Amino acid sequence: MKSNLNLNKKHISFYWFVPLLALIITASLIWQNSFNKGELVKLHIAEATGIEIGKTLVKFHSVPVGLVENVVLNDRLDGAVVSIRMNPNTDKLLNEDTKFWVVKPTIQTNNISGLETILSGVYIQLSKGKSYHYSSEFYAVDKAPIFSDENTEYIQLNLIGLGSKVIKNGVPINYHGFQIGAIESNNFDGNLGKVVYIAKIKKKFAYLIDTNSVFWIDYGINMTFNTNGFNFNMQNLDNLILGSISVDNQSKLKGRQIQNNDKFDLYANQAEASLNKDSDSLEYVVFLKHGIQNLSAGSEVNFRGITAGRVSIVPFFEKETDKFDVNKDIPALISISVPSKEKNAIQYKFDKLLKQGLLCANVDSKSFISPGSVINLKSDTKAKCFTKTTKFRGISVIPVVDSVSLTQELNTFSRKLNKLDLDKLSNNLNTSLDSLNKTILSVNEVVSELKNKGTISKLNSTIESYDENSKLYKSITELLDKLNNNMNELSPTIKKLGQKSNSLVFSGSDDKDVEPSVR
Amino acid sequence: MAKFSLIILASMIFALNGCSSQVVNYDRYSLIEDVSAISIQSNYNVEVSLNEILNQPGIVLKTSDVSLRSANKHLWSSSLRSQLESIFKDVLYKENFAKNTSFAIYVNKFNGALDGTVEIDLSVAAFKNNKQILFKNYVRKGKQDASGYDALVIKLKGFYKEICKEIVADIR
Repeated sequence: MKSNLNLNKKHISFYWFVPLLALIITASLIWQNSFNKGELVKLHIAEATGIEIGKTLVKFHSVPVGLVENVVLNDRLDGAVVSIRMNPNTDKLLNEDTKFWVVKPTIQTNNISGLETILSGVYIQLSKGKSYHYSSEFYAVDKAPIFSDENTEYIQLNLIGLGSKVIKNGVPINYHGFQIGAIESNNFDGNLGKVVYIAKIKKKFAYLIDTNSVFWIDYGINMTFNTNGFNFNMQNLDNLILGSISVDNQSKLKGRQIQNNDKFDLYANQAEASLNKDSDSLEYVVFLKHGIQNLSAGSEVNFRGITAGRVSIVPFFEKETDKFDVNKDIPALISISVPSKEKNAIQYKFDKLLKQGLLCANVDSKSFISPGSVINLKSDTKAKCFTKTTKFRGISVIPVVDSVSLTQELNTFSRKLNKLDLDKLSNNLNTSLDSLNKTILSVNEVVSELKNKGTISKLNSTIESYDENSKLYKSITELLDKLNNNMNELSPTIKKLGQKSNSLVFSGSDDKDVEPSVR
Repeated sequence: MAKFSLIILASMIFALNGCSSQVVNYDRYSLIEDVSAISIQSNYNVEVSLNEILNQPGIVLKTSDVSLRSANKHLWSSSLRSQLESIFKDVLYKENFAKNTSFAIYVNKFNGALDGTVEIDLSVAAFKNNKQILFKNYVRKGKQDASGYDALVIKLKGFYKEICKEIVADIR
């Protein structure tokens, strides 16, 4: 019975599990490799340096989200096409405006990044876009976006560089030291002849800037040495190494809020910015009689002691050969900064002063310790000045009056000092000192002689004998008192003698004093 | 001849002697008869200065509204300035006044008059620790009790002592 039962049961052999397991694994592999794959993305890049098939990862927030499957040249052979197999369920990252860039070690003057890729190899970084459209083909950007947060909204401005220094990309734009934007790119505009920077300002800080704002290059270090002393100012080490751009509202007037592609001037420094802000300039020519006198383009022009402009061009000759003509004074073109709205009124006043001979210029040393010079404009009713040449190259000329500068005075003093016959003076001085020595020796001899003879001690004792408590003093005092009394007694007689000359011999009837009487 | 000359000279001397005036007598008046020597020697810092007319040996008498006369024969026994200083020192001494106060007294009037009027006018400046503590004018005017210089001097002395005591009282 028992045996029958055993015959009726069909036993599945254990060996069947092996092909079953193989079937499951195969199915799984087929699923993984065929049906559960992420998207295949095509990325166009200029250079595929460091990208390796099967090794180079695509990362998003440092999390691998894809792997390079293939790298081939593009059809035009001017770049490469990298095939990236994205991980499953990463479709949301592939917006139309998603950005890819290759992260590799970069060491520049203004940036050190990607050092971790020295050991791990390069990888491709992804920055998610905002578009609602999906894409599987992208063009890699050269470098990382200037704002690490891909959600940052910004306003793009064009800054026109007025200085000679070229600012590198990525340099921060600060408002009162706080970064509100950065330079994205720069380009030389052939028409303007100037470098034009694309600046991006974070939208949340855009309200800080308006059309009256001023941009200038901040070198991070400010060092001045003048009559006010030594002034040293350093913002921070980043600024010192990289430099930065500062922006501020120097005008009290509120301008229009910035919009995309607004244009601003980028001044070489803060002084230039503050001087030229909202200003126009009046141009005049000044003739320098005694050479260029340490003046150069950028030297200060002061009006009544206040910095009012700069020297624009010096020398400002009409012809190059004029600089060799010793009979011609050196012209300097100066520009005086004035508010745009007031330009005409100020020009009218200046021209009127010029006609009346009340606007004069002189060249003076900037300070005792500074080698530079400044042009001082002054209006003095007591000292009028005129010039024969009223226009030069169509520009009004301000007459120059001579002034004795500190440098000239020092030079004169130096010349006089050089002329001084120091040898003769020294000989005279030595002779005088010899005479003085002899005199002192003689005096010493006399003094010692006096000491030896006891003359000084005798003199002391003599002086002591005239002391207030001495007998001699008391005797003299008593004698003087007696003399005084006698004089007093003689006084009426002398008075009487003056009135009547013979009264000493003949007594008169009016000798008696009048008596006071009580009636 | 020598004898004749001697007789002429002797005659002239006798003649001159006969014509000459009689002996001159001066009356001398003192204000400090009753002032003790210790008061005079005390170290009080008192400086008296006089009007120029008073700075004479004779007693001054007012003869009209605008004229003063210094007596020829009625003289002060010693200088009026020193006598006035001594009287004031005597008052200070007797009042036991502190010696850290200095006094500058200017006497403008210290005279009698033909009609027997006695007049004193003086100003006092007192200083203590280099600070002025008093500056005041004191005046006395009255009739002398009898005719003559004796009564005048007695009245002047009496008035002056009154003023000295008043000065001490004012400072205190």
